[in-house]
Amino acid sequence: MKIVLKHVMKNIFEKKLRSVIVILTILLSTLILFIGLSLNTIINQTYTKMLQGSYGTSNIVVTKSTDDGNPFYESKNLDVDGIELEQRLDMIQAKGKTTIQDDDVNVSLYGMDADAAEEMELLESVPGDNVLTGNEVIISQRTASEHKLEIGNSIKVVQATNTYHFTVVAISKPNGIYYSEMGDILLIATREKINELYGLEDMVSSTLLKVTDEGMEEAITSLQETNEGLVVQKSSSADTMMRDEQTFQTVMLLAIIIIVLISAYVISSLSKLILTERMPVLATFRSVGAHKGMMNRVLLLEFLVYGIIGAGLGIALAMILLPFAADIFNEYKQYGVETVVEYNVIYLAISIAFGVLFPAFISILRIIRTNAKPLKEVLFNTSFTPEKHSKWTVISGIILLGIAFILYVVNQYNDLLLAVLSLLLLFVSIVILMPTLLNGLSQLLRLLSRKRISGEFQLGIKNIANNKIVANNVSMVMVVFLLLLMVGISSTGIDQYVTKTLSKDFDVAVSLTEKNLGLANDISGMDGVSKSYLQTISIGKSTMNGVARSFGVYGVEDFDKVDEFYDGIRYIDLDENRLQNLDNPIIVDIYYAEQHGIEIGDTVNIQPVDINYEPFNDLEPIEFIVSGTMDSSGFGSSRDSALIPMGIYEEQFAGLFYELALKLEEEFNPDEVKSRIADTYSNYSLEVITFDEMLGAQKGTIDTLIDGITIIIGLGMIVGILGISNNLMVSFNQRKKEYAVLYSVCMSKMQIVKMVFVETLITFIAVIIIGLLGGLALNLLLTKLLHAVGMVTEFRFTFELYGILCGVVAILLIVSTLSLVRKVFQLNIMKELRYE
Amino acid sequence: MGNIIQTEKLCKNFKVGSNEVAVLKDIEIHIESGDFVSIMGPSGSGKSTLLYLLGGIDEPSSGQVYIQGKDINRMKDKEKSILRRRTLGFVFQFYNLVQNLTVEENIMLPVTMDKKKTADFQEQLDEILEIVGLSERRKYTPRELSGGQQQRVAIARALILSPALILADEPIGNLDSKTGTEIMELFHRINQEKGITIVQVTHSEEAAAYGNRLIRMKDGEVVEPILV
Repeated sequence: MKIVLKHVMKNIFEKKLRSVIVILTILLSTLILFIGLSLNTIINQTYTKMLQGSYGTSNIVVTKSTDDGNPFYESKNLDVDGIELEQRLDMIQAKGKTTIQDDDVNVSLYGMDADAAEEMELLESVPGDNVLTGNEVIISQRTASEHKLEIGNSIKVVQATNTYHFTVVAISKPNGIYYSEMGDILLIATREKINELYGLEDMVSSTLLKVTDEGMEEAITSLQETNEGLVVQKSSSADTMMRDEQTFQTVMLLAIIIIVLISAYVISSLSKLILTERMPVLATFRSVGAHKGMMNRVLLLEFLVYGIIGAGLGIALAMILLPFAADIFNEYKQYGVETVVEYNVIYLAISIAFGVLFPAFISILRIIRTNAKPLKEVLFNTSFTPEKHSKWTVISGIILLGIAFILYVVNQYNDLLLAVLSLLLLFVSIVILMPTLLNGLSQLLRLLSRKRISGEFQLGIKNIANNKIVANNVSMVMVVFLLLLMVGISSTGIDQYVTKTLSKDFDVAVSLTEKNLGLANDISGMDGVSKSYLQTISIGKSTMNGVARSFGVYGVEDFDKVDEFYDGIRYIDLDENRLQNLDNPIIVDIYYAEQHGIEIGDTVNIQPVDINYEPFNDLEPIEFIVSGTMDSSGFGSSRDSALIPMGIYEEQFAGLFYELALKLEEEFNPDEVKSRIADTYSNYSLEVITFDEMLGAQKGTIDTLIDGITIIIGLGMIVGILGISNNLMVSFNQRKKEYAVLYSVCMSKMQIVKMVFVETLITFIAVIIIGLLGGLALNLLLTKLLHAVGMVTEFRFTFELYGILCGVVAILLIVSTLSLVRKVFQLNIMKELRYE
Repeated sequence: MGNIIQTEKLCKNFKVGSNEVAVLKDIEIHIESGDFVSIMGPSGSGKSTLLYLLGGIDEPSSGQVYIQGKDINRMKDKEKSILRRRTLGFVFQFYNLVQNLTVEENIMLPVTMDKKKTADFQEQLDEILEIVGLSERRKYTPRELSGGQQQRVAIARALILSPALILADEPIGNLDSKTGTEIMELFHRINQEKGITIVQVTHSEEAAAYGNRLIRMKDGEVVEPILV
């Protein structure tokens, strides 16, 4: 065993170039897998960290129900009797403006007990005075460095018509509550001071409570019962900020699958290279008495050693690079949210296992097949690889291709598993049918070029049809080509949705924490607002044709007004009579209606659920009569929206989200109106955003995503290119003898080179033709998969991307062929012809 | 008859590690047109090296090889390939056929590469297939044939452009004795009927007996040219 291991290690070190390529491929695939798996968790944790910043270690948040128009309550009015409190922090908020170095900057003022806040991890003062009095405030390190402020400096804040002067007495790290600073200045002052700005005393706008995790549910129920007029929620569900986590997960998963597929293909081709080179050694071992099983183990050991080295290096590099990669995806970096990098042991184990075992796993069949050959064949390397055109292979390829499309057709409800299976079968069938397709292409070219071309050209054309190695090369190029095309189509489609499909349905949107019609009316009546619409949104679940769906349920006062207000919502078919006369009409998206064969007049049952998708208030599913269909892509890419009358909505559904959409008169600037709303209603907890900001944020998210995916795919492409180069190396090694024979009997080296170029040219033609047909088929099947994950938008086969990929393939083939040309000229003919 | 092959002070050295080993030492041979020459000698005597030098597949360290009076080592690669197609035919111990081509495609390779129309060679093809006894198997690929049949294909390929000379490296070294005898009889027939010069490297005294001349080699030198 020691000798065998020594032999394996020596072989790895002696064949430096090959070993470097093998290890680099394993290294890259392990690295990408680990980073890809880790990123989603890291991003979620970073996002959670940002959200938690506003609530620190508290687990309950209490706010005032603003039905009476007053957002404040007295601290003493919060009844916490019987609740075992670990921490409590009362807060009051105000907004103002300041001018620093000629820049107008918005100021958020928070009144609270700074010591208690620090205890609750809402702030973390670096040396300074936490005990605030009078006009003293704490600023963040970010504000201090951006605006060149120091302890002792004064900040002038203007609120309405009053001006206040504050003195900086401490500087906090930009954590916790300061994550929400987001370009503004956040000042922490005493509660008394903020009350003074309002002319109030001992009032608060929210209270953060920390109770034991076990006692939280009970505490919430108790607080809700004893504090009428106050809203008591878990801190974790208090923020309704939405994030498109699923899209990220999907695209990331897709990228990982693609990398794994490319790696599998590359490692498989590498194993071919290694085994080709190891044939003589194999034979020697066997000729001195090693049995086949022992040789299988020796070769597996070699792949394991490669795997261990590659995976070890890959993981080490991944651990170094992960913080940088995660940082690219940290959308909240600009708000000072540090990327939470955690090395997940499970992902680490998966990646190591993948890197170590995958090469051996992929190669095992090839190893067994090689060792199964008769010793003489192995010893003299007399096994050849002509392409056999078995009719059964062709039939099975056609059947698989047929099944791929049948699955596409029968997958009426966009089941994810069927969609993945259909796509997978497409790839498998392309690989299986590749020799037949190449044979067809070869026959066609032979027909077109009959009697008009030289011998080497004719032979090159024949080789494309008859040579298994050439067919393998084309398959490899095609698979990588289609996988990259797949990512390109998905990314472009998502990008298109954000930039083009989203209609400008508002100029300014105001998120309300609850349905406050008075406030909504006041904002709608502001100068410059031409139209407004208050969206009330909840969630419902339904089972249609045995398929469970969840919907964004919109409570609507007037269906016509929705159509009139939102360009992104388009009614397809309406039954006015039902809409006006029924108590329970519903308008569903045409996408779902067509999928489930729902027609106007049909009944659908929707179960109201809360934010955690649990039945709301233990209500039973509610019956609705379909009274119209619409295209709701303006509300979201998943098109899972349904409109119902406000009456039934208010009775049965949890009021989860409220958003006031405003359209402005032409001469008004959205940023100015946004600023005015924020100033005027500074004592309300409002989130105000302009359409451009929303689009920018979405575009930013998508751009970050696409950038990340591009990096991963770029690495995947390196792996793919390594694989294709390896395949060409294998191809050369396996064809050396063929070249030598041709040279010895009839061809000059230049003729052989011309033949190789013809093969390359035809490979490229095959990529163009099969890539186009495969790409179009892929586009169709991929669309189903992306719809299945909630990206219901148009995914187009783009000739631009196709052209770029064709260009990349052309360059790759030319470079590889040039290297082959050099090798052909350097070929030792005598050695290949094997004479004593 | 004139010399079809002539060598002058033909030397070939190989590097083994840091040492230079002389495989052929000042070889001077003459082979006349129509001869059937067998080159014999122990392993390592340089007989195959000599054969490949005669065929222009290998290059000498010094000295000259003349085929039909032309120094082949002054030829460019393209000219050598034309010579190998039109004047020479090679037959190897392991047949060296192109595995993904059919029997007739393998045979027609030199024709195709010589930019000649394959249609013009159909008669020759049929005749040669008849001679080698593979008319029924013209559409087979090499892996569907036995060793003897593959060697017949290699011979047919060597014959298709009616060469003046066939160089054969251990043509029956990989065949059983019955098949070996059949192949040697085929060579003899080709030599006698078509007047093609044959130079074979062999270990077999029986195979050598089919020729009219024997060249014995030892340690890179010609020991005794004998007329049979």
